[in-house]
Amino acid sequence: MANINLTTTEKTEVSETAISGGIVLAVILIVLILIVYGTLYFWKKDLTDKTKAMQTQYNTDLESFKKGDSKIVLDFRNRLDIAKSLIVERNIPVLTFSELENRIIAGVSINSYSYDSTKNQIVVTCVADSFKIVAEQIANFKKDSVYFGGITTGETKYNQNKKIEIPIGVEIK
Amino acid sequence: MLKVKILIFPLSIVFAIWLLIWSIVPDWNEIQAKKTQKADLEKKLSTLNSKNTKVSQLLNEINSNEQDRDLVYTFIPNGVKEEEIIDTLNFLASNESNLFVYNLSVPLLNKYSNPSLLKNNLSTTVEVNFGIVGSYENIKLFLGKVATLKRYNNVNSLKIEKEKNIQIGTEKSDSLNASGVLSFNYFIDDGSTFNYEDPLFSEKGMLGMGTISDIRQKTSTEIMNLQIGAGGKSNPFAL
Repeated sequence: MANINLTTTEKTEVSETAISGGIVLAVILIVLILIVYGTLYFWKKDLTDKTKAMQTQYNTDLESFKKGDSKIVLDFRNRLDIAKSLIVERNIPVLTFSELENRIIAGVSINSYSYDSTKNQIVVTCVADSFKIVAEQIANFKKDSVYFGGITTGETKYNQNKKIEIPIGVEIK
Repeated sequence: MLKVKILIFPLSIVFAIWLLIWSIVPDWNEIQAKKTQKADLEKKLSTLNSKNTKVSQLLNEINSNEQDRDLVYTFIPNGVKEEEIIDTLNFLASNESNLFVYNLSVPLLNKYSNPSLLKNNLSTTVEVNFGIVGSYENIKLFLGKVATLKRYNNVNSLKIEKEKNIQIGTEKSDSLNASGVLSFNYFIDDGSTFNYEDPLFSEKGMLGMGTISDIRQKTSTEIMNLQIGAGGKSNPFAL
């Protein structure tokens, strides 16, 4: 009959050592994890506080930027931008006066002058003694000019002084 | 007792995994997000500081020449300034051009409420009706002065005809009656147009000061500085 060894003393000692080692490892693991957790907690808290402070500072600085000198500077630049476009598109009908003086021929006078910026045109009602002079006047307006463009004429009529009146439309270049 | 001891290690592993999954990983992710947010804020603050520096530089440029600065504010002023328009036009017509002024009216209607009159979002115009009587030379002189006025204006319409009905003491046979509409520009400052991202605040932002020399070249007639007389009367109806 074969001998069977039922002694367990040695094996139990080994198992207890392993268990003790396991507990130590477990404790180390838990401590490590808790250290990591704690570090992360305080890091996050620190970051949150710093971010919040920076956000507050940014909001304050941005508000004072918007209400401060930047507004003056932007306002000034905007005025310059507006002025730049306005100064180009300015209508100065008085500039056409000297041209008009040069174009009116002897025997003709202007009864009325009207300027309309929307049409960019002046209409002068000329008065003359004869249709020949009227024709000469129209021809003189048609000569090349720096200021004057297309010419249109209206209906002629005799006024109360028995003179011929004719409206002449002159486009301003 | 032995069983408990045996369970400690796997339980601690389970606890560690639980802590890792439920707390450490989210915390880590949150920290990364906070770090990104902080970096963004640092960048924003740095940009804001750069913009502040740029603004200081531009402000120095504006204030370096007070005459130029004032010229721009005169050319496009804040508000209609009706009194300035009436006083200046009256002075130019009566005193400078020897004309009889029978009409100078700035409408009380708020042009700001009429979008059709808006030149752009920042400025608008007010239309001023005028009526004057005098010689051709004087009318021409007046219009020439208005055309070079240091405040922006534009002739919308102009009508000149031989004088008929207006009775004035010094009326001459060659008197002409001129009437028309001038539009004066003014700046709208409602604070709604501020743009933080405007290129002006960038490193290469420019004011465009060259326009000032254009204004100076094309304007020469001063705006009147209105002096107000003494106020206060016991009977406001008495002259």
